Amino acid sequence: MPKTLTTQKNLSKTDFMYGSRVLLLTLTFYLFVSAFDGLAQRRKKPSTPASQAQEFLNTQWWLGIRGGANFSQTTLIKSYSGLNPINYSNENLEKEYENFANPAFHIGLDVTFYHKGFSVMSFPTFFRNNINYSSELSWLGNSERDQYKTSYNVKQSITFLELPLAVKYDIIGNKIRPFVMAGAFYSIAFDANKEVQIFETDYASGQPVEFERANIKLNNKEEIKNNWGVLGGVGVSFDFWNIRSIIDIQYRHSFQSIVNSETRFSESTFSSFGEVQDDYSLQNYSASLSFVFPLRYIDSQFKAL
Amino acid sequence: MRKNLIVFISIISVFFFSCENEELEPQQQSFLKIYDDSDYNASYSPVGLQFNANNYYILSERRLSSSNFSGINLVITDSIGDFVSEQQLEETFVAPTKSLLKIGSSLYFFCMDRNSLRPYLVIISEDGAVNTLALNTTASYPLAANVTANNTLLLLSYDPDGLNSILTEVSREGGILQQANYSIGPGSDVQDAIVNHFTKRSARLPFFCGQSAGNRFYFNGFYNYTLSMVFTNFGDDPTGVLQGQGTDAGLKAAYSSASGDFAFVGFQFSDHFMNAKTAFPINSISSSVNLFDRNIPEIAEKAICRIIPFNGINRELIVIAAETEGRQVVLYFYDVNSSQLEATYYLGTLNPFTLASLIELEDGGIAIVGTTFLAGRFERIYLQKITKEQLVEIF
Repeated sequence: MPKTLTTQKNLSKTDFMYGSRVLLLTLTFYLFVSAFDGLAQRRKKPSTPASQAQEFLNTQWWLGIRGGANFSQTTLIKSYSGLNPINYSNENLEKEYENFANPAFHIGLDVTFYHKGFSVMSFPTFFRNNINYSSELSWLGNSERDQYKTSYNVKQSITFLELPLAVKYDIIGNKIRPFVMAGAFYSIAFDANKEVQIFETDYASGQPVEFERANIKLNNKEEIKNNWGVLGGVGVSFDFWNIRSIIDIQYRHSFQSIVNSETRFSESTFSSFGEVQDDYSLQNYSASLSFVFPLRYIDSQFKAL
Repeated sequence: MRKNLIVFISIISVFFFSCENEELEPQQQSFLKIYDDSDYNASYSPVGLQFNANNYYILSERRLSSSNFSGINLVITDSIGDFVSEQQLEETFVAPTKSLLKIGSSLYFFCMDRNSLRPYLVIISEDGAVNTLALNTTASYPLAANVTANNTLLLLSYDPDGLNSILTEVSREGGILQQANYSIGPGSDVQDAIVNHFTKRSARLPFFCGQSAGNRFYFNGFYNYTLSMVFTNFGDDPTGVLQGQGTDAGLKAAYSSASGDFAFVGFQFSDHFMNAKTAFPINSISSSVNLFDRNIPEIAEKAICRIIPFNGINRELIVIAAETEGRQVVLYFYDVNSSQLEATYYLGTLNPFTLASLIELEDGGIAIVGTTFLAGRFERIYLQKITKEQLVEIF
């Protein structure tokens, strides 16, 4: 049977990579289960109430959920356009980015290993980044009426499965504990959608008449690649009942482009009218709220640290 | 406790060291590039494409204020489609033939002097230098060109004084090697059709010429008042004719395979039909309507059609390219031996896309050139490369 291709496909081992990620996730889940199973086995060791309380105070695993909102900005690495100007400068095609303009959300798990004031933590998160940018094209003729402008307003949303690893230090306190943290993250591109609003301005009667020509929203995950970077933040945790609530503010900084150069100029609905992605890196501020539970010595005598 | 910590860090490290995609070199990637001009009144209409010395050469027509005939532009891009330069030939030279031919390391096309209508051979050397040579022939109106098996050039032109379609074999240095005239019949009814072919996009006629297996030459042009495919040995009379029906029916494109069979696209008023392997009447007279088997309604009425051989994925294929009613470009891949349709590929989405030319690339890909309309109204050249890997995937 003849097959039909209407859009460009990512040919760069995507299927293989997807399979690898599933395998990695499965392996990770298995390792987590193994680790906690090992802890459960240790619970059977006999110990005195005093030493138990001391160990509880000094060493603990925490597991919970976290979520929040974030704002992104981009740092342009190299500008690209699907249009090649014949008689004008490439600079006319450069995009304007809006920084920290469009909030996005994130949600995930919080896994922390605490030992004597220091914590090693990871918080696997579905982390969405919203990016806005715009560009303009114009054509001029011999008369005022020979003018026409087109603008592309782009809203790009990217969801990463982010896998951070950070070290946290509780500065002071008991029930209320301010902390600082620093670490790194690796993000797997999970989903991406791009919405392009095309506005035209016609000077056919001498005066500009603007109208919206099209509004196109399509999935463009093939244009995005995995990311990594460093993060740092401050926060405070509160203990109530058996639950620890954590509020933190974090800053993420990545250094390399998240745009897949292999698919930048591939045929697509977007490239067919000249809209392609620049090379840019992401920076992000986020505010999150976590609720975590201790994993060890949960019994009727338990008091959250 | 330390063991737990090690396990925990190991888990996360798995992800940090998970493999990243190895990116392909830019030359290995597909692309779609559009070449924009900020002049409101500028219009580009590509007619030919070649890849030479690591550059794409796009032969293009442009509007002239001094003539109703089209002027000539040569747009050069690098191997990843980025614009390198544009060269506008003097306005004296107009009406390029609708293909850019490659022999060795040089490119060739024909055009004519807009005042004398005398044909010129234009040679583009490997370094991009352009040289023009006047042909010593009574013909004018260069209609189509091709390369022969001997690496010479074949030119189909029209003689408005003698009312002949003229087939000329031209050396790479511009010398006339052999020539044959075939009368269009008494009267001059085709003159308007030929002039309109050069001056009106909607009135373009599917002129083409070439050489088939068995040292037989052919052209699709006016013969006996009909747009016909004429077979000849450069004798006084044709050896065979596939007649059309005025300008309302005939062939849009044809390609002769090594076996001597033809792949073709025909038209009957608004209908189109095609076949990848057909024996043509090279020694008799027949009619194109006899080849009509079924209509392909997606091909637009005034569609430009092109046929090229393609062996880039180690299969003997024929690519039939055409413009669709949906203002896209469609590529049909046929097996040259079985004449079976193997795959179909569409270009174009929001803005309309038209077809001008396509070539097979040495790396197994295909490059296609045509026009798109930025903002729906500004006619600009696009160049698209389909990689070998993409083509393998659709089969």
